[in-house]
Amino acid sequence: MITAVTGGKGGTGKTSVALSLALSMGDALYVDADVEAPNAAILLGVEMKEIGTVTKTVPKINEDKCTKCGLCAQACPTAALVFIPDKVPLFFEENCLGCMLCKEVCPVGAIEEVEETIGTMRAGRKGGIKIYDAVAEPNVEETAPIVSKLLETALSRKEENVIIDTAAGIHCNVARAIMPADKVIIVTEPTPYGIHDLKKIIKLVRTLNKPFEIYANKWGISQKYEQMIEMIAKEESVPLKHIPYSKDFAEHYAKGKFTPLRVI
Amino acid sequence: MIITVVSGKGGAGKTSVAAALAHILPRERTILIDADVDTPNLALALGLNTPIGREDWVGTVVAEYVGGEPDPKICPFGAINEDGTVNELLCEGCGVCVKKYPNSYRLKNIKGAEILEYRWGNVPLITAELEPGRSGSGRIVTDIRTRADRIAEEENRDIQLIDAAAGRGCPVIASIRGADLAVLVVDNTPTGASDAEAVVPALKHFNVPFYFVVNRYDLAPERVDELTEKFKKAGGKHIGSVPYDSEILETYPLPAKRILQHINVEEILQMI
Repeated sequence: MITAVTGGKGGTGKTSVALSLALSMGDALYVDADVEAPNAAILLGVEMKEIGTVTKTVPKINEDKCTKCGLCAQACPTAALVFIPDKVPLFFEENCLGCMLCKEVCPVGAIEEVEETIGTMRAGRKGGIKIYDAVAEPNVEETAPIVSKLLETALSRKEENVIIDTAAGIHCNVARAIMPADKVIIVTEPTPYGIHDLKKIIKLVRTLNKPFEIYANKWGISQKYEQMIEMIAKEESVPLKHIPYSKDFAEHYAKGKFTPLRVI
Repeated sequence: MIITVVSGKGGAGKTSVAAALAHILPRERTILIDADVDTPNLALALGLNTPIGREDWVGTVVAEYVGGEPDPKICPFGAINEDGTVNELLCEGCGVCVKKYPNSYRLKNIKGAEILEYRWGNVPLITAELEPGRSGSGRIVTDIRTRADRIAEEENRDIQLIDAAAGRGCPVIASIRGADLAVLVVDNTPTGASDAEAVVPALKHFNVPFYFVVNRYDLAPERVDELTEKFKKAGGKHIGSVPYDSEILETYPLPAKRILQHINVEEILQMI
């Protein structure tokens, strides 16, 4: 059973819910798919060890072979290769998707594939919980391939209980982390922002055709917005669970002492 | 003058700080940009519900299967299904399939987002709402910034306030690029500190000086000094510490004063 925990809005408690769930299972594989801000290991105080790198395939032009025809630059979908007449095309790696169409079109075989490191995968363990996460290289902007590779690596273990903790938002990194899941938990909060973003993440989960439940965190801070969450759960015909608001929890969290959440 | 509010961690208080800062900037000179196109909440924080303009953003390019022999293996991103159809959420729009099977695939532009324009009184607020699951939010941010530049020029507005997305990827980079100042919101939690730290190299890379605000400082007051020192060492200037205040989240529109009273706004006003 693979469960993805997501939420749209940041800071609603995705990681706290996901960790609480993992702890309640005893044995679980925990994939922290928020590669731009991985937090599960910090919360559990787990020391993570590198288990591999994530690379991107990029072209390398053999200047001796290149006939300066410009076909590669013409084919490049993202202007990562720029052709100036009579010169070997310039390469801007940050634009490169790694599709290697350039190599495909090169009439003289002057382009070869090289692997650039874009991130590092890590693993750690606390009790029965195995955590997998990844850290993007500081100047890497496009982090979706890191999410895909991390998921592929972690899920190849074929563990029974898997929890995937996604990033905030509704973008492709989040979609990729939800795709392998059998079930999705959406964590929200009774605030105008929580409601606004809840509607968006539901749209994504529906697009991906996954069954889901709503966990409303910080329950008790606003009756008005709590009623709105109840209405949304009813309209969507999905189960709604509550996590009572607790300033103690927030304080413990801030002090670096994670305590599992109580889900009702 | 471009000011970008960033935090790394989601829910650290970016939008609250951005909305509060919007209240102190001279209204006739300011334009607001909500660059969190996944979950844009700045308009909401300012009490705005209805945009004055909407427009589809059709800059997303994906491949489309039009028939012929399926060949899932050719796609470098695994976006072609067994039956030859394209999983648009995985497709990067590179066109490798079109190149190899020009009769089976073609590229098309689809809606990747909707661009929204609001007015907060007289102040323009530009944002976009990403279609669920799409990539390319960096390009969308770049695009709404270009639109904001145009409006700024037409209306003689020389201050731009940008509320960035969570994380530190493409959309955040696109929000930092060209900024004169960043306001880094550091949630006073171990995770908030770690995620905010991850944004600092990008700020340095683009030569953006930064001020920082510690949020929810009173939840772990004993950690604040260490935290403040860390970000000062990283080159930031500490301009305020905001206490935990659940009323900020519950009150709508956002009670800006409750935040502003804890921030030394003079530091920012001097810059503009």
